[in-house]
Amino acid sequence: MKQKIYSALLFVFLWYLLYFLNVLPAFHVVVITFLMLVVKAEPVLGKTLLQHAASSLLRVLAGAIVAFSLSIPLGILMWFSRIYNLLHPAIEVLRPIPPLAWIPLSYILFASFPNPTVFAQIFIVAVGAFFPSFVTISDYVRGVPQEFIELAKVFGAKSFDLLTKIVLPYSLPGIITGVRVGLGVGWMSIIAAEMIATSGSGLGYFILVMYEVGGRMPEIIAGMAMIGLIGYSMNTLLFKLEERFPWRLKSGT
Amino acid sequence: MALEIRNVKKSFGNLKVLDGVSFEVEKGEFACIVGESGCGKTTLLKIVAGLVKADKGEVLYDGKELKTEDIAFVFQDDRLLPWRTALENVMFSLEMRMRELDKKRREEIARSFLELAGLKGFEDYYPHQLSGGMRQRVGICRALAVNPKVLLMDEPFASLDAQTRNRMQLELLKIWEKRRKTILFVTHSVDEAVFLADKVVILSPRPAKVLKVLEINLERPRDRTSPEFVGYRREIMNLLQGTSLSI
Repeated sequence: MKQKIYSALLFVFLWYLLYFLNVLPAFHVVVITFLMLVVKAEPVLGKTLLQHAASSLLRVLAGAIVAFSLSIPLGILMWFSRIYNLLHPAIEVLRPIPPLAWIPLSYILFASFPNPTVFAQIFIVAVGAFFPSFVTISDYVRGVPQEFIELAKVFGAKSFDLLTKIVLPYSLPGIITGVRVGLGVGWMSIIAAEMIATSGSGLGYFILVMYEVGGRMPEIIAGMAMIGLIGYSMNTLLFKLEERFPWRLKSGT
Repeated sequence: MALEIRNVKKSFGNLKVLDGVSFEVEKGEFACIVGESGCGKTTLLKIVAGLVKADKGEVLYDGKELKTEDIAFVFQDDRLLPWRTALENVMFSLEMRMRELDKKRREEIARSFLELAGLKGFEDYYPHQLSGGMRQRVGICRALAVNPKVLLMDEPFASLDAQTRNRMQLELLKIWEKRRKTILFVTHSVDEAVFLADKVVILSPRPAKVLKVLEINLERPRDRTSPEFVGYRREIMNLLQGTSLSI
């Protein structure tokens, strides 16, 4: 706890240093702007910071659902060497393509949809969240100890049993890690996507507009702080969940 | 004659591990296999289990080939599934092998074996909450629950401390006296073999052959300090040392 206080004090001190050097607005000004923006609608876009956060979060949620409903089952199926050999090379080629590089293609793909930008944004999040979660999950799945497989085989397990009774439960913590990592990248992707494929709301769009209407630094930094806070909360929440598996949870009893 | 191991040979590449191993075990008999570390005891057990294929030879039970579904295995590491409670771990073998049973019946069987092994009250504990000896007992329950024809045990007490190990040996004999199974128990401890077995199969260093099959004619519970007990130990140790010195 003491460490955290020192760390925060150092942060604020460095901030004021930059303020006196005329690099940043004062820390307290940003804090006040942030609090104001949380409760009161910002006039240019007519929305509070919370409303912008909500639209970003909704898009992330939609994209993440798409990503995880693919990455979790596919990641688990990677346990089968034949599927691994089939998918691994393709995934490795697609993985290094940054999510934002998919924007032009997604515009074309969703051109006939009622709201192509929003679909494009969700698609970008899905791409961003899919790869890291898929790789994390499939790595975990491929690490299932051979001893457990041998045990199950001694008692007559079939392939399907191995998958449902050994691979899946063993990989549960890995799936949560995959979701955590995927959400992190998804969150970064949506902020970036909102600045390119703009759609009238979202934290990324908000900080971009605050720049365009005259470089309003306190608003921009307040928006960034909100992005950081939400990303941090999602990560911490899921991290706590990872540690709460029944066989770990009851270690104190 | 119940279990027959006939002229089993196995090589891994150029490494000859088993060089024609043959012996027999009666129904309900407790047999121990002793030999130096790395002599191929575990490989032999895995061949009997059907987990490893022999290059030559056969494993018969009542004259027919012994199949994996006829055996149950107790591993050196307890190999309990960490996401399952003690009860669920015992139920695991039943889920795999006795699919016709409903969940309630499986639970009843699992509970009865845990009780038999003195683990009543620990049903809902996860493996990490149990001591090494308790975990190994859960592993034994898991193996016995499927009512195997032959119970194979691969140095199950090797990683336990001396006191726990002695207690576990007594526990195992107690369980075995209630549920007479044909047991094939691999160990590198001569003391353990003489304490447990009706019959000790002594293997030579690699490539393994049967040096001798020794019947232990001592009343149970056995006294480790009795002259007869020490005599058996000496005989086995001489056989084991004789071969390793002659290399």
